[in-house]
Amino acid sequence: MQRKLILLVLILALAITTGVVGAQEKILELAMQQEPDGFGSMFSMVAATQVEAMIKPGLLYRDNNWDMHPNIAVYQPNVDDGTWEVNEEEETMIVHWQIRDDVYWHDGEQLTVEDYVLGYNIHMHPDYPAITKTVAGYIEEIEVVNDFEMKIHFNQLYPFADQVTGFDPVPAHIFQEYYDNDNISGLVEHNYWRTGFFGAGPYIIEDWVAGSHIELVANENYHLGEPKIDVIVVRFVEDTETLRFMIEGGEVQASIGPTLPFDTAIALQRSVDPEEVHVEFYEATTWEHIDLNNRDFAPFDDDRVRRALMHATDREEIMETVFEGVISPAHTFQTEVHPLFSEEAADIITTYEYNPERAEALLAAAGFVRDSDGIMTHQETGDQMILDFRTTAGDATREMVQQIIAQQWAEVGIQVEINNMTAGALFDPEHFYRREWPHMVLFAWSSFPTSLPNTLWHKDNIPRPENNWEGQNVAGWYNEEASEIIDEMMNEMDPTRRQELNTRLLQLWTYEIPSLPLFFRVDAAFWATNVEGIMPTGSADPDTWNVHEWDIH
Amino acid sequence: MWVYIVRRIFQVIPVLILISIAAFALLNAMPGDPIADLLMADPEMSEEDLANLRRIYGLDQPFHMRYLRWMGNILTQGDLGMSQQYKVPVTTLIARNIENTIYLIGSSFILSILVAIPIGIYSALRQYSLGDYFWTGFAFFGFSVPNHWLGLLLLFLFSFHLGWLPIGGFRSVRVPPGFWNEFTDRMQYLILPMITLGISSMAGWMRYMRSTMLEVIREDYIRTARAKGVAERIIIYKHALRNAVLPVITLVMLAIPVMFGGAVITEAVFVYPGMGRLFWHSLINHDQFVAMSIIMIIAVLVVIFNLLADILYAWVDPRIRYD
Repeated sequence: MQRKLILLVLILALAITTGVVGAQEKILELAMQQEPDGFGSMFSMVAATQVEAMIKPGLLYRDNNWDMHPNIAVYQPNVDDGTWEVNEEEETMIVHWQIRDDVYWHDGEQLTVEDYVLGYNIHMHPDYPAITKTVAGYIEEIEVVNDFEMKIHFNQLYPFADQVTGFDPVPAHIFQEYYDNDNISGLVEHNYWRTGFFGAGPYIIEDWVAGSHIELVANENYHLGEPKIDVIVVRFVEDTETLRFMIEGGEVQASIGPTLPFDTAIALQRSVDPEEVHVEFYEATTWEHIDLNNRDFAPFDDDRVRRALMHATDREEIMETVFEGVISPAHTFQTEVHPLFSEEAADIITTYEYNPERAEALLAAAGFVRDSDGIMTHQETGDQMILDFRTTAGDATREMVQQIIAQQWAEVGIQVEINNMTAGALFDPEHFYRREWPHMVLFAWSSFPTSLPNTLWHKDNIPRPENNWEGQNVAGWYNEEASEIIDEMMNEMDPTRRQELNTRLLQLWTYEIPSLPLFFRVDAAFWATNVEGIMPTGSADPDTWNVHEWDIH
Repeated sequence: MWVYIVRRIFQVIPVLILISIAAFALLNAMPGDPIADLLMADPEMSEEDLANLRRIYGLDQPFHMRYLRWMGNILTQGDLGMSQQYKVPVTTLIARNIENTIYLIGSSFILSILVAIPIGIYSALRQYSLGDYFWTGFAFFGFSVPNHWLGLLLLFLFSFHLGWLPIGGFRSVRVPPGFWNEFTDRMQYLILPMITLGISSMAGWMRYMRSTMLEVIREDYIRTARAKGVAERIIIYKHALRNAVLPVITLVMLAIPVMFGGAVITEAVFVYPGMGRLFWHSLINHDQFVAMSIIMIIAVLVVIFNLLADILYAWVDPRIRYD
């Protein structure tokens, strides 16, 4: 009897222990270098995008192969099945969206089309400080079909209307009253956009300790499936070395962008045990390049000079020295994984191998000869190739690239005077857009899979006094044919035709080479090898697109 | 005394107004444009977007209008303005960070005083002893070591290598409720930044205390007290210390406002969310009203602690009278 009792107690103890172990939470500590300043369309931080996708997903999401999939939407609209109606004559469109009927805000209210309509109305209110109203501004009206269907009427053609609405839904049960009373300042200051933020996503904010971390708990009712990790603690660690200690010391089990810079990431990769920490490098869409002042410095008006600069730059060596060969040089302003880039484009564009003899020959053809100091000087105008070269002071990678280029160009008689400035001074509109930099500036533009080349390369976007120095074609590339192609691309709904147009544009651009393409920035992510499912996108879309499928073993 | 305090307060009002104008002008003259910076992250923003944001944040107004509106709102409503970056009132933002800074500065201040004063006295009384040489060496180390380097060294040693303390942050996730749990948790995170921030002031005050003490103990009245046979403890702590500590009071009082805004690097290394980090962020993000408000808080603190130093002077030194 006594033995049976002991056995029973042992079994009970085992059952309790197993129960406790079985109920143990899966907690992932995830580090980022930035803390979101808030969520929603008033904010533009990368960190906010990463966290927001865990809390409030969109109608669709983009995966790591840059393919779109429905999330809250039932389908992605398309022209073939009539859910995207395009009237090319009148240049109008209607996009028919249907949302799932099993999506609930974290506070329990059902998400309906009403939330989208209010989101649009708030977004377009003149006093609402949305970062951009450009795409939402193309919308004429939103027609409500029923609680789960809406037709968005566009007053102009927009090729990505099947992916982008330009506004987010907001919980009407909270904000309708604010909007009806025109209390936009109250709405903007509402805690919803910060610590009180919620959506219908896989994770719910449990606690946000400003400056330290956000604790997210799994939403077991998430419509795409219950998340496998119970708690994700997103920790904000600004200091690079401290973040490195945390990853090496196992204090955080993953880190996604914005995270360690390339040089620290490489050092970390060498010091950690690959059996314990996985380091992933991936090419992002941020394009590092040198913009030439094509409008104010006469020699740059000659495409032979621009091509000579490309041939004088050994970009392979730069990639090897600075990035240990992890990335390849860029040949255009567009990454090869961009939806607009085609295989045909890769074959047809002009590429520039390192060839200093060819560079000297091109300079000679453009009228330059070496003077007594060995500096290339124009025979007629006397213009010397002594180039003022600017970039953001303190950016170690850019400064290193700049130094290598200066050395390489010296070999062909081009002298560089480095005149770096703080980011604030360099990008000050009075300096940057008015081209107060005499010759060249090294910097980066960000882009998205939905980016079209109009902002950067259309002739109308060259900043000049007539347009009040507005536009981002700061290199000042003026090409009629290119601008016509861009105009056509802006109104072309067929992705294949857009690619064809893009191929011709890239052909023109790479031949004339108004800017010197260097590379697409490389990003890094880290995770402990027992963490599964992290797949960074590299596309400016959140790396947390599949967070409900992440797991810890 | 009260008349003196009121008179001093009235004297500082124009000073504070001048500081506010100068700071506003300097921040305004800083290169860069917070709205144009957004273009770098999203080149597809239109000119209308930029113009709209400038209008909403009042950046389309001339300098003097923006200043007058900001100052008017402070004087009439106590409103420090709206943070452009966080879209919340500046007062909310400061309230969120000031508590952490007070913990950090307060603890670092107490630690520095508790270490610097006794060691300064010890070094003076045992001049050129082995102990004096050791603390002199320590003081020079404290002076010269950069905060960033020291912080990382301490992190590496005590957090990464030995694992005794957490690596960065200011509190744990899910702290069990209760004062004691919260206190011990916060202390774990506070120890290393407290030492890092305190070490340079500790070194300075230690040397200052040593030299003033050395001066005082050579005075005639100390010699007289010794000749009268007064006990050495009473001579040191009642006669010498009270006089020697006078200049240190001023130094210590004026150091507090500096520490308030100067903890940027320490806060960054230890991922400690305080006023220093907020100030730094506001500068790099051109968050003008946040930066202005912090500058004004520091200016007010300088004034207050100056006044406090004068009052304490009178309290410690009965010879001083304020008419």
